[in-house]
Amino acid sequence: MKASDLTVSRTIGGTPEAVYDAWLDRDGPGSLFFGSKRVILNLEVGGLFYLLVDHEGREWAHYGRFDRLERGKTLEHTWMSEPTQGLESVVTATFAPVDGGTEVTLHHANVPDTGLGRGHKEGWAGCLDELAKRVEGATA
Amino acid sequence: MPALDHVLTALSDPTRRAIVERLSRGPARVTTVAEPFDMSLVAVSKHVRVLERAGLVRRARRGREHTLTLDARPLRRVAQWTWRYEQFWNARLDRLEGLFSKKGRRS
Repeated sequence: MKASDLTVSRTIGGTPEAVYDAWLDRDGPGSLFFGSKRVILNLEVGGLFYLLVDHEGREWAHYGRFDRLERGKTLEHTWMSEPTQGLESVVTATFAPVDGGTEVTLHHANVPDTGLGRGHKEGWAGCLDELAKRVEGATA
Repeated sequence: MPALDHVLTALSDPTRRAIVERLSRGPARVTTVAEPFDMSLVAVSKHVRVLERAGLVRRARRGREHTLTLDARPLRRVAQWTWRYEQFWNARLDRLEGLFSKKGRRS
């Protein structure tokens, strides 16, 4: 299966340790887990997590294992959900001190590169339907 | 690559989605594309320009004849899970950023 990766980054006004703590504070609003319907969390290297997220009118389960928990520096965990189609994708977050705070960089690797409309008999029609629903839902 | 916001805005309108669907069957002249719509050629041209800005449609000019071609690349990117995850992680970083900017204002 063809896999792809993506990177997003942001500078946040706080020390690397404070930003790292907020990202992992399960009940805090800045957290990776915040807003999940159900969270099971064992925050240690080799520990597992489960998140149930409500999105687009249905529930999506996410599972992962923490591989690196280096406070204020690096967080690495696996990430498995329906869209990863059985592949263990890997999320690496780095926290680097910069002017004005901390640069957080999230690198998500090994994400299957499957288009919703790829291979669809009607060409792009199915994809467009899906998009239309999303866009209309978002603006409704 | 045009901003994805432009792509989503372009596709948020039923007339523009119909134009994209028509062009997914092959290139066509502006006048042909405009035929099924109960609106002026000028109004249809405005919709086409929004699609051009989003990078979804390309226009080739031969004399007075303008031919439109669909470029599905921005569409394909929107449909990929990698892009959905980009949105997902950005939304979470927005909240983290918001938390710290609130803290900053208080102190």
